[in-house]
Amino acid sequence: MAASVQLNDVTLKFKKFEALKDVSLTLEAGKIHGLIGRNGAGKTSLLSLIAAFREPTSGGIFVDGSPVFENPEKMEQVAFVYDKDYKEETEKAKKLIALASHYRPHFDMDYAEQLIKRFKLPVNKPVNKLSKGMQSAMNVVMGLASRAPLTIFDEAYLGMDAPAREIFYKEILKDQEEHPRTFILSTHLVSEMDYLFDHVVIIDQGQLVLNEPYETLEARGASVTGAASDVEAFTADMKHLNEQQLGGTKSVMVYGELDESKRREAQTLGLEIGPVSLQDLFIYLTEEAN
Amino acid sequence: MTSRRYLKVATAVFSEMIRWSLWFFSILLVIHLIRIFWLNGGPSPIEGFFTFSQYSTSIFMLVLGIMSAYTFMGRHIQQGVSRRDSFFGISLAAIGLSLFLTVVPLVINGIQHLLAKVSVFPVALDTAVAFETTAGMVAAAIALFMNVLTYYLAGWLISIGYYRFRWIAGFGFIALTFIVFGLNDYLWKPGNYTLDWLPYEPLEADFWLTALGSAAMILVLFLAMRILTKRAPIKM
Repeated sequence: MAASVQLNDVTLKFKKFEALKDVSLTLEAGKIHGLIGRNGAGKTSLLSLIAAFREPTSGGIFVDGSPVFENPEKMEQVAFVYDKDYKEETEKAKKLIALASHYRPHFDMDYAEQLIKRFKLPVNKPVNKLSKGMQSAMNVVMGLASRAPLTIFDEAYLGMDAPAREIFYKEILKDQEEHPRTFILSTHLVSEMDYLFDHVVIIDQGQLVLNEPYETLEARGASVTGAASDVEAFTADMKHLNEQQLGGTKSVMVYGELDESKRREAQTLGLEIGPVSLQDLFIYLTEEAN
Repeated sequence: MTSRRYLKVATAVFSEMIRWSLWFFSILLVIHLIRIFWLNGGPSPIEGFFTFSQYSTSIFMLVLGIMSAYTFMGRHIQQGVSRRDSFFGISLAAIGLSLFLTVVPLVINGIQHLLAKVSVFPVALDTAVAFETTAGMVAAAIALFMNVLTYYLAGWLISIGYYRFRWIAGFGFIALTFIVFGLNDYLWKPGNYTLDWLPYEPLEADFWLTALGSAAMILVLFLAMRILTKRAPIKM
């Protein structure tokens, strides 16, 4: 079961501050969507609207075609996992997971148990006594095991060490294969997570900067690698996103599509053309917007 | 399924609050027994558990109410429950808990009454006095039930005030609850009348009129809570 999301001209204001400006967006059902933005770009605001935590100042938010705010059928389908403050949470992790299973109609307790073992989560400890990484792992367990048709992870990895993050990413892919649903993963760890995404949305200062399938991102730019002088000559009139040089070999990330003739030229020069990295594209696009 | 969501909320909230209540009653009973056996202060009779626990029970409900918006609402919306189901679930749980908090002291009081007959206690217990404005156990139970529910709602009102409007407006909500307490005293405890802007006319003459007034106030408080929680943004 997977749910689609649609935002129509959504604006969210906090007094005079505009957190989101006229955002329109459709997120297809059954895909893993990456939501990328710098700190304060409006990612959490956007996700909190989809999860019906608040109402937009104007515009509409729809889950599977119906408005989500105060819609019990739709709200039940959305699981929103975010960096929650657990300073005051004296309940045990086990209790919070049990509560999630009480409320979530598709919750899979066996799967939750498996995840608890994988993350080595001490479920009998009060949540406020858990390390930040373990609190995040608990959130991830609840989010994954909820099997909600729309599961949102808003920087859910905070405080997790690299092996734990790796488990998290692998579990998303594995569970998506066995129980397809719609995921929205918000992050600024772009280079680490980009392989997960089917679709990428970049926002900056409350505005949509990019919204497209991961495959077509390749057309947005390329990496050109080869002898330094050849690479420099070949990319001289192109927009450089990033450069790296090791001895006589240089790799340049360029912005803009390379047409067929350019690709052939690169081939004859012995240059290697690769896909543009999402990380470089993200940095460039958000800098450009500023 | 659709209509059952608020029941899911009610059972979860009720079981959590019952857990706290059992702790509360255990502690209260221990204090009461200490008072009976060691701190009875001479030959004059002391009050039974029902009268002894009334004030503490009301304060306990006030505290539970104050915890409500922060403990439950965010949790419910995060678990995909609508504000409407959260409100009705919490309300049902609060009514259920008020019943529980009414019945338990009555039962303990009844047991004490029976035990007093066989002279278990070192001091006389005044287990007959249940509630000052009322006559009979049923009336006492109704009065306590309405009192504790009112205190819970007052706490819930303070909590939503702080939750939604921050601290300055939060003080306004505290002031509002003082009016609620004043009206409640006006209805139930004419002797302890604290509002000086209402004419003092004790209502003890007619219990059912008092109960009706109290029910109306409870209804208004429920309505206010629904309005205040209906579109409330959730803290993250």
